Amino acid sequence: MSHKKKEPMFIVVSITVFWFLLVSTIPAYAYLDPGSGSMLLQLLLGGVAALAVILKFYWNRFLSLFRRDKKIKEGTK
Amino acid sequence: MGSNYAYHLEPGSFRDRNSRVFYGANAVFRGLGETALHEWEALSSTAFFPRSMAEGKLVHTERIDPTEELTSALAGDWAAVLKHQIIPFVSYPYEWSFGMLKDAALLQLELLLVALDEDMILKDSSAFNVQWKGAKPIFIDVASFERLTPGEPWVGYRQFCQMFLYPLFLLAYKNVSFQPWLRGCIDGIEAEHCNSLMSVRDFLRPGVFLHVYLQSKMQAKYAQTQKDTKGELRAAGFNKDLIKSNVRSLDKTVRGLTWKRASSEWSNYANDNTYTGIDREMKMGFVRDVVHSRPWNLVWDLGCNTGAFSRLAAENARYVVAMDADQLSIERFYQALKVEGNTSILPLVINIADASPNLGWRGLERKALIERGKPDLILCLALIHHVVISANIPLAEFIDWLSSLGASLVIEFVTKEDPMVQTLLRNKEDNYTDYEIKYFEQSLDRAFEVAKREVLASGTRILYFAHARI
Repeated sequence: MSHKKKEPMFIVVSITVFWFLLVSTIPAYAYLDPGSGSMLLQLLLGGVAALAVILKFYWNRFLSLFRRDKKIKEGTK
Repeated sequence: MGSNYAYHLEPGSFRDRNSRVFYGANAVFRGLGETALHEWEALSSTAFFPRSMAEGKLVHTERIDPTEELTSALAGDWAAVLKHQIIPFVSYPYEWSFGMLKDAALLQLELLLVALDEDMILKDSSAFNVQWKGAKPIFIDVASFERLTPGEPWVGYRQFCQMFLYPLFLLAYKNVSFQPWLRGCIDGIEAEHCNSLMSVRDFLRPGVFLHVYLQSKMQAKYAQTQKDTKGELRAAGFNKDLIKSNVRSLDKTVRGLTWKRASSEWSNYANDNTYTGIDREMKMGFVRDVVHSRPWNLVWDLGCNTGAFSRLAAENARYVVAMDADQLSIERFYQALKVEGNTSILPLVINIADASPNLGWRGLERKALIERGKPDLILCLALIHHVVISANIPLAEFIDWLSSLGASLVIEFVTKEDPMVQTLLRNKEDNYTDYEIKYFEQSLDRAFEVAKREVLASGTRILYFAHARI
């Protein structure tokens, strides 16, 4: 079956997401869910074409950490 | 020139602020606001739009000159007005069988894919956007198509899961009916709730881990995010190829879903015949005579079972709605009609003792069964013992309700001596003093004018053809 062929990529990507889920903050249950989680999940569901996008997404988030730090530092001055 | 017809708004079409459905005499219109008009112009210039209409997959729609067909007051409310093909009988996902919901899901995905090819997308995935012409699904909400904003994800993905994928998973993987849930919750099944139902074994089944487990966890985690998710995705280079890949994979997952009970009990049904051959022949003859006595507009076949009499009715009726509380019968009937490409019989999972009520906002969003078009002929064959003895509905009340529909009626009375009634009474205290032929005939006479009466060969079954007095 063809879905088995996708398994290695599937496992790698799943582990990445798991890591992201577990290492990050505690889940927050909102009264109104804007569906952000469902939108982000579409990165995982995008198949091979999504790999580059996922990398860029995390890279942008990584860079944004420094940007935020910079802003906080500037703010405390 | 404006006509003098009375127009009324469809109360269930309020969710989209830029488009509204309203009805005229034998016509369905859709008013478009400025934004919706731009999307309509984009849609009507695509290649897939006329193609899908020609294939009967998309409701036939044309832009009209409102000053010619509408009152001037109404025409002035909208930037443009569309006119839709009429759907013979409106039905809802909680009245569909497994195969119907599955085929409606596949139609939604197919249209989404062809739209993406031409840089358009469906902005929502409501199962209510699909209706039926017999066993053929039709997508009705043309205002759902909009131009694709580059870099945006598929906003309707979550809704697709809630209204199509999870209900199908429920029946395919857990053998739990989705209809009561969809009737109880107009927006479908939440990822979190679906996730709670799945066992460890289920997470290995196609689609469950990603679409149920991960989606439920990610929804919980990002429910209160302050981040601009769409902006982040766009910046990372999200594009329509990712959506197409997801849609293709969903299509494959949905196609692979089966309701095991339907496939295993399939063959038994064909042989399931509770009455004698000669009774059946007489009954067929009686119904055939009624059906061909005049042309009928809308026939309701209550307790249709595998649909033999619905088929007979369709020989001389514009449209037949075939209803049964047993979703296995309806599934089997639907699959047979689908193979034939039938467009005149709509099979629905409906328990007449608890038929679909008014639902949603103000109780006006989804209509009760009787408000969606009254029949002019009702077939009520081998049903009354289930209504009175199984559902405990007083016989006179059932006859009253039938007469309130104002139609002609073919009804079969099954006496207490009949083996089927004996089975129903086997473990019950027989309190059913009203379930008796004389009382039945008195009740029938009060509300109907009986035109024909025939006792079948078994002697335990009597057929009546009658016309409502009101």
